[in-house]
Amino acid sequence: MQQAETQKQKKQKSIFDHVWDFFASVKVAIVIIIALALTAILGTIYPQENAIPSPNPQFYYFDTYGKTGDLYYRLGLSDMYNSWWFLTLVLMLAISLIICSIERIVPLYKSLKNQPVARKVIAIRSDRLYASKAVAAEADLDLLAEQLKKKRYKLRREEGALLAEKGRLPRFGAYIIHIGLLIIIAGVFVRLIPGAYYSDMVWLKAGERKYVDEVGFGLQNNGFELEFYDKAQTRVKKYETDVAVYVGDEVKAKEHLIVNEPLKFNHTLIFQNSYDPNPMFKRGKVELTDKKTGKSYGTFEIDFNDPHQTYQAGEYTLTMINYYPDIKVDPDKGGVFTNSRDPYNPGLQLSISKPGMAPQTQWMMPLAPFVEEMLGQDYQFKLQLVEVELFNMTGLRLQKDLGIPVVYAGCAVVLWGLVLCFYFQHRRIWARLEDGVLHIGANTSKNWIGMGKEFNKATAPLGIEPVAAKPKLKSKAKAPQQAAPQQESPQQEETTQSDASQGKEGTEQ
Amino acid sequence: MMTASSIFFGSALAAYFISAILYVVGVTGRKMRGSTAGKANAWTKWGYILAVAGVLLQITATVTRGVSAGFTPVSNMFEYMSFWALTIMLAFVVINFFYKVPGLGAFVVPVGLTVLAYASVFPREVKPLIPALQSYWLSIHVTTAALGEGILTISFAAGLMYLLVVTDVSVKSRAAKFLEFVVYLFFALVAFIAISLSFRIGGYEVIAQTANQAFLYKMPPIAGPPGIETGSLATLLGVALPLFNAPSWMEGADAAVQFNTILWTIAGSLVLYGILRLINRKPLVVTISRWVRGLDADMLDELSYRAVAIGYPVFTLGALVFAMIWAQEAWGSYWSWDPKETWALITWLYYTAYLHLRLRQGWEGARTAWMAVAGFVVILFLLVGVNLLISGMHSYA
Repeated sequence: MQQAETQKQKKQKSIFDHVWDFFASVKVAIVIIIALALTAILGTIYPQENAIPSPNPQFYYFDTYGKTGDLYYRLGLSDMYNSWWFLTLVLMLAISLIICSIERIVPLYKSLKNQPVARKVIAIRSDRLYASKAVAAEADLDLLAEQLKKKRYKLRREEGALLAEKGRLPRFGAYIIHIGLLIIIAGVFVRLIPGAYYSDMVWLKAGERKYVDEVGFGLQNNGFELEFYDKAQTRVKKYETDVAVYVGDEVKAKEHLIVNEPLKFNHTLIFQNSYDPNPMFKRGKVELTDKKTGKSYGTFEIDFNDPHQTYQAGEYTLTMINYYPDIKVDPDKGGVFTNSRDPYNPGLQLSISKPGMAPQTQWMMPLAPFVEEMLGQDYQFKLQLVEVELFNMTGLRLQKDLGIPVVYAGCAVVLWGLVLCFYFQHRRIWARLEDGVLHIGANTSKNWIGMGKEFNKATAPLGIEPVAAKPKLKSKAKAPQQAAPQQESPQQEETTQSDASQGKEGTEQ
Repeated sequence: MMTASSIFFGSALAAYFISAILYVVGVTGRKMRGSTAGKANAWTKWGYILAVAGVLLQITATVTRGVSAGFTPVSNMFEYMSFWALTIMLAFVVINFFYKVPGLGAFVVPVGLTVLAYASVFPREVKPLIPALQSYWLSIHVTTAALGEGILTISFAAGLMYLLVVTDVSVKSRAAKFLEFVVYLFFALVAFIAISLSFRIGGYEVIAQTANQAFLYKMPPIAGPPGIETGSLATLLGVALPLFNAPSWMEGADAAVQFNTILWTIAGSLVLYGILRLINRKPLVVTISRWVRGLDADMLDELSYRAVAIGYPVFTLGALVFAMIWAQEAWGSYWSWDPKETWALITWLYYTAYLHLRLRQGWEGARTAWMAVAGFVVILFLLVGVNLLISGMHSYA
């Protein structure tokens, strides 16, 4: 009794075995694949956080999509491809790929390596392609071997037996795909290695230089150009930045950066990614005129990034009282303030004076010239922008990902596996001489028609009539109406399953 | 050159149309009933010849448009959908050359025709390429992806034919009902195209202005955006529209307009289906299943699978690998979970599941045929649904 118990214990699987068996199951793999597909749908209902034009997702989803958007954000679906549960699914897929592959590659490899040259006649007879020659000798085998060699089969011979084989690698196609996918997943995870991954936007104004410590260099915008197809400026044709790469104060590289053609420096790709569609004010020439008579008193130039304290227009002196680079007027909240430090919408409060005249305070807002009327005052002067130079901020993306070669390699392996798996096939022909009768059988992983042609061509010189592949035997007895015509010899019925399937590994594709 | 291209497009459309009619008549005609069922006859032979002619015409149309535009014309919805129609027809012409399935054209050609007709719903003018699309990867990625999708469409048609062969549709069953539903969906698509095209040709436009948003309706607004008074927007045949408002939770930018389009499609499809049903006086699928009578079910099953086996690697290459390389070239990030990318992955996972079920779990016949049919819905969503319902970089704005 004790013995029985130990035996039972031996049979009991460890947790490791259970986990292994779980992931080795194709059913489980399919469930994981379907679960990934279904959950991936959730992430496409609304845009993901990386694709929204707002740095504040907690407000963006509610403002744009209402209550459902808010719920979406709160459930974590707005960043779901980085969520723990989605990554867990990917990890489970990776484990399943590894274990499923190991579980099947090894037996397949062994059985293909150890396949017998002298296969049992009973097995040959059960092949879907089968032919025989009644009075045959070793010379017929030689002839067959010669024919098959022409077709680039690899041959193995034994006394009275022949095995010709080609395209063994396609049998491993599916596992090559799996390995490629694992390489891709590994390539994605390379970014977790410190220093292997960096991705960020750099926004540069004209002439501005910024250092990015993580990639070890700085970028300077030496000029940005924007071109449109049409005069109405609705469709962008081209935008480019004259960019210089700095290490310290030394220029290391310079390029006209355009979309789709990044500059590579230090394993980092610098992309012309975007630009700020709202232009900023760079310089402007302002004319001081008399509002009533329209008489010009003179002009002066303003650098909107660095305005002077005083300007001179003819005999008039203009003193800057206040400068708001990005002005916002909000009478309800009490006055004026600036939205940002960048001159998107400059607002200047100037005091205009000349000797012997009381100074007058006046506003100037190039983007809102009507503000004067809004303020309801009757000004004596008019400040008018007669020349202006605008510029757009350029948006460069810095992208460093040392995993990319790995991902590309993985893609190449996957494609190689796909081609092997679906466009090539494993073909084998066995011949066996027994009691003066030559039995020839063939097996392939797919394309029986092509195999049949090759088979008949090779056997014709032996004086064997062409044969056609027998219909596939349905493993499930549900086969409708036309069952395969059963014309097997009595011998066939005695055949055991293992005998008949000897040399046929795995499922047919 | 552009007018020449338009003429070629029109001729291709006409060729597909005649081809579809020839095929449908070929598989339903009296001659057919008398002769051995399922055998090719003169009608289907001419149908095939016209399909080949249509493909050649459409290739010419695409090339001339490309030459005059200066880039491969796959940059907007019109160009993409017509290119997909071309790949469907091309895949059909090639596969039918090797397999010679008599009735296949009766199923594929109407699909190709519908897709090309659907393309004409979209604006046709050539728009110059925005900087992000100025890359040779545009041609490589889009054409390969479309080719994969075209081949996979053949698996849908063959799968549907298989189901019609093996299902006894005269007996009420779940399978028969589902098949009827598939037929209904096809006519829903036809109805949608007919309605959109007629309002487009008529130049119909209504703008609904709410407090903070404007909505552009290209079909009479049955459902107005939330917050609009009923009956205040337009009239159709004396009825003041909208009849009611879209539910308030539809707050997305175009949700109300899309909801309205869906209502029109449902209404139109029910009318169209109802008329056809009245003429036919029995489920349409009963009539259609006669087209495939006598065809070899195993051969159709094999063909459906073979199309997946050929199309899947092409799809992987075009829609995923080339897409990744281009995204890396253009943005420095090979994957960014854009909805279109994600749906391409979902489609890929779907067919991956199909292949595993078929090759490893021994699924065959009806089960995988249903998967092939449903796979077409997944592809349709990838190609049409994502662009119309979800915003992203592929929305071809």
